[in-house]
Amino acid sequence: MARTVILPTGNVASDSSAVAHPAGPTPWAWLLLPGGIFLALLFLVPLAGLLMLSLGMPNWSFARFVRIGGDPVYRAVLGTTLQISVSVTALALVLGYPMAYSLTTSKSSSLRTFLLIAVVLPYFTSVLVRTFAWIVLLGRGGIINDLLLKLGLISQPISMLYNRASVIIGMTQIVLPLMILPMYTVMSSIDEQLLRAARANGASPIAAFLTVFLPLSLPGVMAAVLLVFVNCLGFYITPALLGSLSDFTITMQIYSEVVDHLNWGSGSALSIVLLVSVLATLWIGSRFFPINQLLGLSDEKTGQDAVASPRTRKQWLMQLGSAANVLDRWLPSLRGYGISIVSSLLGTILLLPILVVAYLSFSSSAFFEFPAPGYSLHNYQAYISDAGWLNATFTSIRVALMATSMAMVLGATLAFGLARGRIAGRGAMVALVLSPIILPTIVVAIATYFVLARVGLQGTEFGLALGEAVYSIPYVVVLIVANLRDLNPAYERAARSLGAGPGATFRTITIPLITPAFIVAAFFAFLHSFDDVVYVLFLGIGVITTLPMLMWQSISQGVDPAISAVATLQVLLAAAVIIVSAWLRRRKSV
Amino acid sequence: MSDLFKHQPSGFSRRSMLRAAAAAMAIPALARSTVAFAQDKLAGNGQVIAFSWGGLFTKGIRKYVYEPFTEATGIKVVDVVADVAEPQVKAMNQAGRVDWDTAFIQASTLPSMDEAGMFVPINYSLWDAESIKGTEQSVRLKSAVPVIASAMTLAYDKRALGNNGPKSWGDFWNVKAFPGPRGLTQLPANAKNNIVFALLADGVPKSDIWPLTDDKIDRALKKFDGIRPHISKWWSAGSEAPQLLLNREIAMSSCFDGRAISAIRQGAPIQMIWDGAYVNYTYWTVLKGGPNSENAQKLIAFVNRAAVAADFTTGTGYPGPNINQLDHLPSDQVPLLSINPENSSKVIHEDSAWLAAKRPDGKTNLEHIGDRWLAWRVQ
Repeated sequence: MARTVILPTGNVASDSSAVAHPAGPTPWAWLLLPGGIFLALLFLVPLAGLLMLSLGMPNWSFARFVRIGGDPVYRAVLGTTLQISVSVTALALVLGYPMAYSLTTSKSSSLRTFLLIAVVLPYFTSVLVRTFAWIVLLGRGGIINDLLLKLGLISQPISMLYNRASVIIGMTQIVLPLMILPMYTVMSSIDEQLLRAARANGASPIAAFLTVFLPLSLPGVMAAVLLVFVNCLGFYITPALLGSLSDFTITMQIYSEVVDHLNWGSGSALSIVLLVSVLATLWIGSRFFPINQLLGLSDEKTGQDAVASPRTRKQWLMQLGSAANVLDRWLPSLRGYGISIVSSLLGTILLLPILVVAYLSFSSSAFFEFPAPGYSLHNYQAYISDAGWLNATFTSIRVALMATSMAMVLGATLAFGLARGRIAGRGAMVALVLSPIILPTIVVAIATYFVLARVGLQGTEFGLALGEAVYSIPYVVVLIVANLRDLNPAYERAARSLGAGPGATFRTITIPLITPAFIVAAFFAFLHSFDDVVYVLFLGIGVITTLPMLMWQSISQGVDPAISAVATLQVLLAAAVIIVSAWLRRRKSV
Repeated sequence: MSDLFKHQPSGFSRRSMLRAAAAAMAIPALARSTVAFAQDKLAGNGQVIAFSWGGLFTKGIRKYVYEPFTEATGIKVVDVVADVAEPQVKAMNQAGRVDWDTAFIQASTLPSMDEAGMFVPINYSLWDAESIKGTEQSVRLKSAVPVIASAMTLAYDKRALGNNGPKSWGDFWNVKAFPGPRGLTQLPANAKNNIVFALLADGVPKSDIWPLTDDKIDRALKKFDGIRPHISKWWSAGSEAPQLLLNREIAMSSCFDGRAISAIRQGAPIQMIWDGAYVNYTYWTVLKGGPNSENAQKLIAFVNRAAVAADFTTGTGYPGPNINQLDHLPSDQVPLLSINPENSSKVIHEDSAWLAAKRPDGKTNLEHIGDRWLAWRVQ
């Protein structure tokens, strides 16, 4: 199991394809075809429509873009959007890395299961339910203020909500799974023997972490940071619910243009500005920082050169290791439990809002009041007596399963093609794959509607799944590519040299090694489809009612008593799935 | 599609007061309509694909309007639900595949959509004479008639302010006499409401509010500079305001009447102030190119019959335009409604036509107010 290449930015995957296929498009590149055609039909065609709309078809003009560029208001709104997105990404990285580390390295499987639950469960409640739970916890009359007042630590309730900080906290909770799980997939493929070797050669635990583990986990970090940042740009409900008046994001403005004013030209123009600025930032960033390479999307050596030559990097790592060794003597030792304690604490905090919802589901009041004025099961009765909830649940699951299968097949082939194939214009292909999650969903949804309506697929579950698959493909591609990059081709070469055919090698070496990435990719594809409230508005055209849509309607227009019961049951179901699968895995490994 | 037909609100349970009202109201209507099945002039066959907002609203309208309608006419009602209709209607119209028969449209987007030819005229010849008489002529538009009047009122927490709470928007701005954190809406489309509240607070008479010219917008924004630090929550979902009042997060706030009424019925200690409440309409429309336009016309004629209109109000919490429904509504419900004459004399009605009118720069007045508000909010 010796790993031959351990340089953190060594570009092993594409080296091998370069050796095997010195020039021209490689066979792997053909894998780009199905996903490429799918995206062209269901994304590029609608995107072209958007562009024409923003240019004011049939009278071409750049007036809208000029107006956006010259307006200080839009610059301020774009600035706020970027500040929030960068802060959330940074906070999620700082909190998420230790949790991903524990999830990978903890010896206790119950801690691992607990962390997984804490990270994933918050996804399974409607955003409004979650916000009302935050009010119960952090509000002026909330639990924490109550506690502080009783303890005499404060004399007046302090306001913790409705400012920039509460937006960042609320959004961080939502994006943490997206931060943690990509890092986890990469971390779990790091060979433990490398760390042991470092320790045996005199590295302290911190030095071994900094010089071996951290560099090897970077592809996961890069994938996670990219996905989280792009995801943050699209937030519009959470900033409105948890922020102050000035926490106004570009996506909120786009929604207002599209929904309130039916001004689709302006909405598309703003979306195109957002798309171009994000892609330009990534492109410029990739000149100075090996983003492509870390993601496993580069077959050039330039990225490597831009950072440092291998020799200086080696020296740098050596110095870092020695410094950490010195530092280690001065740090108090927690016998290696430090990270576990920190991540358990973080996990508990993440679960608090859900515990509040679960408690309130037994309240006799339909409102989110703490403490509950009385207890009853009438919330659950309201749920059981209404077939609409169950129908919506099954609809959501059906659509999400369809969208997930499409996104997995097309996304995985695209990922292999991008990571291993060589083809001209690959940068453009990467931009195309990422664009569906950079553009605000509402404009993509409207544009997709026109494509589907042309063939009569509007208002069908299949049509809805097609649209949602476009949105899930980017997550699948980024996650799988990040893991393929770290897949040592030496293993595959070894298998081939021992007589395995390409098919057998793929089946016995490649697939098992990237299975965690497949599972996590499928999880996000499923969740993004399951959680969607925007595509369904247009592609479902009122005929399809999904669970999140029903939850939103039931709580935004007067509180339906069933809502907290639904949220609690949903969370319980998700927790049960995680616990059972963890238990099955443990049995299998024993 | 099959899910649609299964969607039966069998277990729908509203507050006990409502249920009592339902028993009083719905049974006579049902009894009358079963007898009248063959004779009802609206009798027909087939179905109508009707839009509504989902949640409790759809449950209410289905039980109190659609089921009696099917009973009376033999026409089935198929729900299509979403929390907004305007963008989908525009999309369906442009794609040339209109899958709905009716849609609810905001007053401020109605004129431009009507101009673009998205609706067919309302067939008032199907209406009862009583419905015509009870519905004010100014709202019986060529291609639209109100589905609900909604009011954004001032509401406050009686626990925090007792019975001597604010009585007007002037009091809302008076932080010395009426202390406590405040809430207002941050919905971009409702910036107009905030502007009107500030002008009322600044002493502009109700008759002088419209049109919201730039000097008045300046005046309102200046008024907002003073109150901004005291607004601790700018809400964006209708249910937030009553929830936050109940959590003691805020002491007073603007609040949709439907949300406040439903909270009060559930025992929330909330007081609504009708003075200076901002009232506007959302309209029924029959979509051009829809599959069952004739049945859609019949549904709209049916819902505007006084007795049915009263049931509609009971079921959804929002009143329709036919004033004759007051004769059919339980007396304890009437004081909470904006159409109650005592309340309607104090409210301010939106000048929707002015808001929808285009300015020289091609934007509507509503969009212009939105731009001014956005520039102020992000400064």
